[in-house]
Amino acid sequence: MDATVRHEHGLGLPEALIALALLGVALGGLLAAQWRARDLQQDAWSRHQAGWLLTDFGQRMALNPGAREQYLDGLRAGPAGSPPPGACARLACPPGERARADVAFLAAEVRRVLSRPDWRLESCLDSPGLCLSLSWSGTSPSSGPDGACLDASGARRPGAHCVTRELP
Amino acid sequence: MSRRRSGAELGMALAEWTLAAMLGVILLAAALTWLQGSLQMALVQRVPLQMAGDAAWLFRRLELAALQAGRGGAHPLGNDDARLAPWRMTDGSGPGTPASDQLLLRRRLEAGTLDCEGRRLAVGTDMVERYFLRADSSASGLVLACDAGFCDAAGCHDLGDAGAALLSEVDSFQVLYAAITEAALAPGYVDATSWLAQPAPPRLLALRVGLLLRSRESVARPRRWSLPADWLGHDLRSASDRQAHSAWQQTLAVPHG
Repeated sequence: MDATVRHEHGLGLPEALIALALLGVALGGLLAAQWRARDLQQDAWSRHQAGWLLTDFGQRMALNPGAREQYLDGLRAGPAGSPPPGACARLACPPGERARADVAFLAAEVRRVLSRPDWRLESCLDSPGLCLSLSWSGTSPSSGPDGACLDASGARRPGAHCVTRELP
Repeated sequence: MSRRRSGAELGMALAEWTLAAMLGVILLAAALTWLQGSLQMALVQRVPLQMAGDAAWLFRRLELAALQAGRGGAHPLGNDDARLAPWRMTDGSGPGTPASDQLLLRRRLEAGTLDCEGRRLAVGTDMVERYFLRADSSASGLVLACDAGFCDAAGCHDLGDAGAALLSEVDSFQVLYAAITEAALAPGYVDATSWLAQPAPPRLLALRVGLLLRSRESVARPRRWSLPADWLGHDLRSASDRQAHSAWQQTLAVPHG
């Protein structure tokens, strides 16, 4: 009789384990949600920075129309290993050197503000011009299958870390 | 044999109460620590985005002003009008670190509009807007203000006051100017002193504007905020502070320069 009474009152080991398991599941869910929110905010910030840099770069390129080919050559080389911008980014200098300095400035800034940045120059999928795709955090700056920036129609893939701008 | 049960069997002993209380305190402390950590993490994430939004808003505004500057044949910087000399562009004359510049933009109105202080101006008026940094009672740091006025045959009016505060917590405001040149060189971006030292006011091709911002909110512990090494010719050291810091620059075309 006494044993029965003891079972009716208080918390046994199984109940405690179940409570702990439930608590663990709830905490895990909260942690996952928190991590996801952090990722989303980080991505929003990176996207803002990338869009900002491409807008400024487009403006610099438009203001130096005589050096379009030098801009394109510099962009084709990619952001890795680009030299520091140098004084020509600000001082009067030949258009070709200004183009190289502007590309170097873009490369330095994307390396500073983005994680694992990369870019690619290719024909725009939805207009006749050339587009520059800037990606970060492992996304490939191109159109293609999963892991790429754009799908075949030129729309950004869900979850892709990239921004694309048409060049002037 | 009594069938009455002992107190130990029925209720909670002191040891059990103590254990439960300890567990409760540990869980509460963990929850509070987690909450505080979450709030700090949210703050650290939110603050740079807020500053990015502030910078984007201000640059959009300046971009529109630059696109309109010089309309109607007026020099976009007012360099050809001696009446504007007291409020003309300056280099490093304002507060802030690095010391801030002052930007003046002018255009002739082809339609009635409101200036940056909210006053309506009529068609044909030369609208002048002066952007500069100053202290303000509404903010702990400096604010970027816009002082608007206009010029007509009788002179220039409404200029020289404190203007309307556009953006708070601005540490520095820098402007460089690129002139339209005949030489086969891409134009250099020069400061106001070099610009004004030229014998005749050249036409303006573009502005390069820099904003150095700090956050309105502070995080719990000092953090290192990455800043560009070369910001419009200024060497910015990466800041370690409880307030976030960010440096922005944008090149703005002046098509009517």
